[in-house]
Amino acid sequence: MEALELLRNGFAVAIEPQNLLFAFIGCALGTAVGVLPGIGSAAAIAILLPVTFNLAPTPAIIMLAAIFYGTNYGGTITSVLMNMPGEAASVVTCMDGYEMAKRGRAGAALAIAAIGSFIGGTVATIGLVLSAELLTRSALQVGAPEYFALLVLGMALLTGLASKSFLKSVMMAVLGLLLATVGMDPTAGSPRFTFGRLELLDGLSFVPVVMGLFGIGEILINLEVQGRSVFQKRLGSLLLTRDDIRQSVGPITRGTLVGFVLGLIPGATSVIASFLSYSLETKVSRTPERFGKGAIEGVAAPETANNSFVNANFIPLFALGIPGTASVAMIMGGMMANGLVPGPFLYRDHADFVWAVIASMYIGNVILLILNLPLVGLWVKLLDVPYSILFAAILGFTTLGAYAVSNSPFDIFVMLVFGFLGYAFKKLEFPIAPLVLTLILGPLMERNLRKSLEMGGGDFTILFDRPLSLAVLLIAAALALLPLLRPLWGRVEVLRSGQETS
Amino acid sequence: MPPGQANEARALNTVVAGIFIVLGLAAAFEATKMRYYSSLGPGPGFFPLWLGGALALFSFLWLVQIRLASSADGTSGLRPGRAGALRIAAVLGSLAFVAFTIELIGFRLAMFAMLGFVLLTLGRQRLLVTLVVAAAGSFGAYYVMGGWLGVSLPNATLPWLADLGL
Repeated sequence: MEALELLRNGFAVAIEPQNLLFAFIGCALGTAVGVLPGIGSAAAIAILLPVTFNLAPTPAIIMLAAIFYGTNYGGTITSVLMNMPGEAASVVTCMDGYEMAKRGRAGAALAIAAIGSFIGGTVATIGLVLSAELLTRSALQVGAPEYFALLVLGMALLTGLASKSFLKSVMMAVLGLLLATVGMDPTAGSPRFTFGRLELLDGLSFVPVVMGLFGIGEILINLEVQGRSVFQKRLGSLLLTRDDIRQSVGPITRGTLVGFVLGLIPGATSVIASFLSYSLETKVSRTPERFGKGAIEGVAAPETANNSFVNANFIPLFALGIPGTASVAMIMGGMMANGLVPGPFLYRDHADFVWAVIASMYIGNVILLILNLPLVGLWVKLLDVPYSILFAAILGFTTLGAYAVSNSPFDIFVMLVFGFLGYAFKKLEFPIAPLVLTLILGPLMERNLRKSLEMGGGDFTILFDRPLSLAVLLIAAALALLPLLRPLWGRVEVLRSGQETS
Repeated sequence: MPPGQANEARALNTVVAGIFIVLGLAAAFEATKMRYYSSLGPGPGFFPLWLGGALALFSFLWLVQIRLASSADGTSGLRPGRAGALRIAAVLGSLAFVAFTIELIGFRLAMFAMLGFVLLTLGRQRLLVTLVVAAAGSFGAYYVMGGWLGVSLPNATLPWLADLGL
């Protein structure tokens, strides 16, 4: 199989000392930042982006990917020890993880989380390898109208899943697309919404925008209310009992599957993956009453699903160029900054790069297992650092990163403005992920729509004449309308049950 | 949510919806000044016009939803307290300070001043801790990022600071 041969070559690149070192640094930094409460993977990548600025593309993306899955591992530690999720996907782990910690079984909870995450991540990466050839071959058949339709589908999925409010999600997606039009128009080259500022001719820099929305926004939210909770310092033994292993096999298997399937869907989040796998376990368990009281299955399933999701997320990115989450969008930003355009041609034109990154994911999962099992005590020590020092460090690092993108103080202002917006959006419960995704996908969408219309001589029906494009657009329309129909359906049900009672 | 707080949340949401509507309409209006269509296909104004219109439309629908809803949706505790607002203003102010001064007094001094300020005032750290952390985050970061990672950070342009090698 060609994929296995390419993977072997990928391993040869990934185990080069420099790449191994950056995978290790990425895992360590990701875990460290993931341990800090309130900082999710998107914020972590935003904060740590400057570290990769002057690296070659392969080590840079290996490091960003390692930071991404490292934060997901790190988030578990605070969930178990402090009942405070380091990132949103770990919220569900608190329920049983913290209960285990209170009973002196924090070590076992962290051990099963690390083992489950390792299995979930590794299986998803195998899925990435197996699906690569097939997806790439089909993706190469895709023209501009189909690509445009796929981008619309990605956005429909995202807006449908990202928030409780459909309208808020759509507003953020449209705002992101509108912000993406700032700068030179991609075909005619005329300036749009630049207000005479030369700095805006290339568009809004992605890095300062995400650093502001996630990094600074997070700091402002945390600073508004001060105070920290006490955490359980007693780890207990890391060794699992025979019962622990027996009870965890099923949840880990199901968690891997749930995470992998959801990881393929743009717009699904790791939060959905972990919640779904947890609720699945409560349904299939013979003793559901144990959940929420320290059941090891309640830690194993969501943690496995979470990491399986993270690794499967790279499939739509690599094969179609569609990032599934804000964190993956940032990795996509990092790739594009290095001249690598994600999508079907990536496998063909930059096979060395893609397969090295995939191979590094296997290695990264092993590194994380080592970092998170024997060294868990070290990460716990990080929680002793006062938040007042941590936030100052984050503030300094984001400022440095925003400036270093193009050596311009203007980008610090951009970060400042988007930092305040990020804070306001969080307070008003506007989802930020649709904005970030459409900001990065906007130019691709505009270019493909315009290319499609050029192909069709300015006729919009080209989008509906081609079967694949039509099918994808119909699915997107159905998905977009679903949240609108749900309340109506609810009312019909209420009316019907009312009639039956009377 | 108590009725007073709910009314406040609804009023704030209404203002936010209004801002979004104005933003959408302004973008659409600006787009009308650009070419909408050409012989090759859509012009530079095509996308922004539709997007501006869509933003205004969806924001208007949200506004209607807010006005019709019996309670404000999940937006309790919107306004920060006085102390919280001051902390937020201090962070944003210190970022603006760095943006204004980074090319004038150089990265090291601008960052040292910002970190020193936030650690002393917001973090309430002791002077020694403040000095050590601020020095590591400014002078230390300058040498690590510049020396090891090749990221170029600005030096002071004020002659007397430049003479000091800052």
